[in-house]
Amino acid sequence: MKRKLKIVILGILIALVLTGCWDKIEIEDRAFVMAIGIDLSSSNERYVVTFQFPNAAQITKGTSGGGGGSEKPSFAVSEVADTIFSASRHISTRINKALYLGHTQAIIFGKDVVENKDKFQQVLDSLDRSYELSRKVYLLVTPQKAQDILLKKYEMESNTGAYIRDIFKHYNLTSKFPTIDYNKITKSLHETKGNAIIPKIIAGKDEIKIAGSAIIKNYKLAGWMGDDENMGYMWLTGLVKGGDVSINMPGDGEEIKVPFNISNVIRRRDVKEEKGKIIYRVKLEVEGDITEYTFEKHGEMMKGDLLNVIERKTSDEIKEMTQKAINRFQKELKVDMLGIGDYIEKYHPSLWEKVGKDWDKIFPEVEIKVDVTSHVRRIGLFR
Amino acid sequence: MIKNNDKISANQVSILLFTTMVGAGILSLPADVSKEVGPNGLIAILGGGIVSLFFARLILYLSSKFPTETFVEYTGKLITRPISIVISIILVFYFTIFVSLDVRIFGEVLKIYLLPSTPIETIIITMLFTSAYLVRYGLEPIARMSEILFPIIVIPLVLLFLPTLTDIDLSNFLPFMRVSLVKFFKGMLVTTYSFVGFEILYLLFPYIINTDKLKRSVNSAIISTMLFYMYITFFVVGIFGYKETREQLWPFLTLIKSINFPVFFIENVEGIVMGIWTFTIFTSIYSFHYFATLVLSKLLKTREHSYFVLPAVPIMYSMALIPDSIVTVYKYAGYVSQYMSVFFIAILPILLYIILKVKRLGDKDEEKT
Repeated sequence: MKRKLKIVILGILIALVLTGCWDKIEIEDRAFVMAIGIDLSSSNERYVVTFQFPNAAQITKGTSGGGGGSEKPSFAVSEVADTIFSASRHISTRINKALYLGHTQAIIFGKDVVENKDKFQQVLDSLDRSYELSRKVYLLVTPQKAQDILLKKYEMESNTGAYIRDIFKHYNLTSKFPTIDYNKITKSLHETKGNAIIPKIIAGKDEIKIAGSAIIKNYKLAGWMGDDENMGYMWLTGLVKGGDVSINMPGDGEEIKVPFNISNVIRRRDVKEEKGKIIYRVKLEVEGDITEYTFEKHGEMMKGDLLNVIERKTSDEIKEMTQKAINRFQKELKVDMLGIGDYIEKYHPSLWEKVGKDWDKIFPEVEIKVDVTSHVRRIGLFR
Repeated sequence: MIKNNDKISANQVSILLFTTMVGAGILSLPADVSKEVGPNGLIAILGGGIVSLFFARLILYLSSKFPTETFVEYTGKLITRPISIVISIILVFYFTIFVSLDVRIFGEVLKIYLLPSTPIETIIITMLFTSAYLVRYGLEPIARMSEILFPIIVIPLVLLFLPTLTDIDLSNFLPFMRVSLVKFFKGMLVTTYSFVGFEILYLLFPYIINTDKLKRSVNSAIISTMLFYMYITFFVVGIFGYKETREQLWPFLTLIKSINFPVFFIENVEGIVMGIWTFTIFTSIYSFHYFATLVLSKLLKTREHSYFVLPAVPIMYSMALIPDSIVTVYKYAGYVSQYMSVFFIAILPILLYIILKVKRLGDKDEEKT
């Protein structure tokens, strides 16, 4: 009798303790959000949050050889709410899946969010505090509405989040957008109290394009950077890892453009103080190759000082780009996004003790000198 | 008085010390240390490790003067019986607090990351019963458990961070030593709290077989803990920079969010790390649980410590649920480490050492063995 009782109690315990778990969500009941878009509603008071997630059911069908059929490969849903978090909760009244943000690849801010300081700070804080979001997310700003980008379907890749991630993967083919992810952006926002550069995204008809960047000053959009300025900024901050610079060369008759394909960049920096003025020097050593010139001039590459001319012109071109970025940041916006303060703080701490307190005032007075030396390493298969 | 099969070797002591010290502290250590010393966290941890090593050796020296007695008995000789009883009761309380704090932080983290709709009470009580089950069997099984879990904790954690090496910006550790000395010592003190756990040396001595190797194993335990902490802080500060690190609640867990594993299908390693981290905190919990009950049994002169193991569970459970939120948990943890840890790690050993030298006690015991 006693033994039977023991067995019964054990059975009940096993049934209670070992069965299932509270938090079980079947994988097909989850919506793996790949991209999030954040806009403001027309009254600028509430958020419009868009979640894009692939159709998991269709993906599994595709791999098992069913061919997918006519089902949608990806969904995007928008929700209007007072906060970002409540949007992710309220949306469950409209979709039959539980949102899971752990695999999110990209978060797109609409222009109106970035222009509104309070709202933008709130959004940033909600990202910082999130338990689910990975720190490898890519943040992007669009001059359009983020909703417009995410609600569209692109032929190239219907899963917009994965599309954006893949574009970031081959960052070293161009230097058109800064390759910075959430980790670096939030680090910059923390360290400079609200300044950061965020890559820009725009949607075309059938594709998206990531190029240029938005300047955030004091948690607010301060302007956009075009290709040249953006690359200049990347030169100065050491982000350039590849891409090309085109230079003008005398061709047959009129001038032609020659691309200089960057393969390696070495950046050295130095700070000096002379007569109360801070001189910041950046030395760039650029290596690369020439991939096209003009058919008629075959044979000239090996001769004379053609390569020297190309090298000199490339250096000038790069210098011009950096000058554009310096003008923008130092003269126009008066905000140190070039990492000069950071550099002085780390490598010249005694100077920083003097100037650190009112760096914002001193920064526009700093003399920035850029020296560029370029080297052509390869010329392609013809002389 | 001490059963023969309940003795452990010096090597086991080393592992037991490591697993006891590494617990909930690793979650927040980089933030705490960055707050005080900025980019010089690594050096502060080095300093804190050396300070801890000094006090650990001091405690070891004290207890080695009374090779057959535990804390309760030898402090009775040194600082009179009544005071010794009071301090022992505080020590029991102290270890109990650590169990409660650890299990609460464990519950909070697990609830957030893995089991959002499981009640925290369930998580806590499951952990405490698991610990009680192990602790009832005494010191030797505990040491063996630590031996088993040690490689499971260390090897994956060391390997998991390697993919983030490319994100590390070494300039985040500059400028070198530009903080005021006061702040630096404060930072060292903060890191010393992360080494809390070597107080078990007060009690451990009579249970060790080869006491001659003990110095070496204490050294290696504290130095390896220090290196482990430095390893994690190196990655955290190297990636986030100290300005961001100090704002974070659990930089260790935020770091895990930044790991981009080269293989696509294990994109988020949080689950794996949570599993490993469960072991780290479990090792700390059972160790404190055991020593709390051990001191209590010595105090009440019972033959076995195991009488107190289960009755302690409801106390630890209700203490774990006292703080309202994670904010208050850390506030209480701050109080405990600021007052009680300083007393048991630094003040008490120095005091005992002075009294030992003045009274010239303990030498006789050494001659006997």
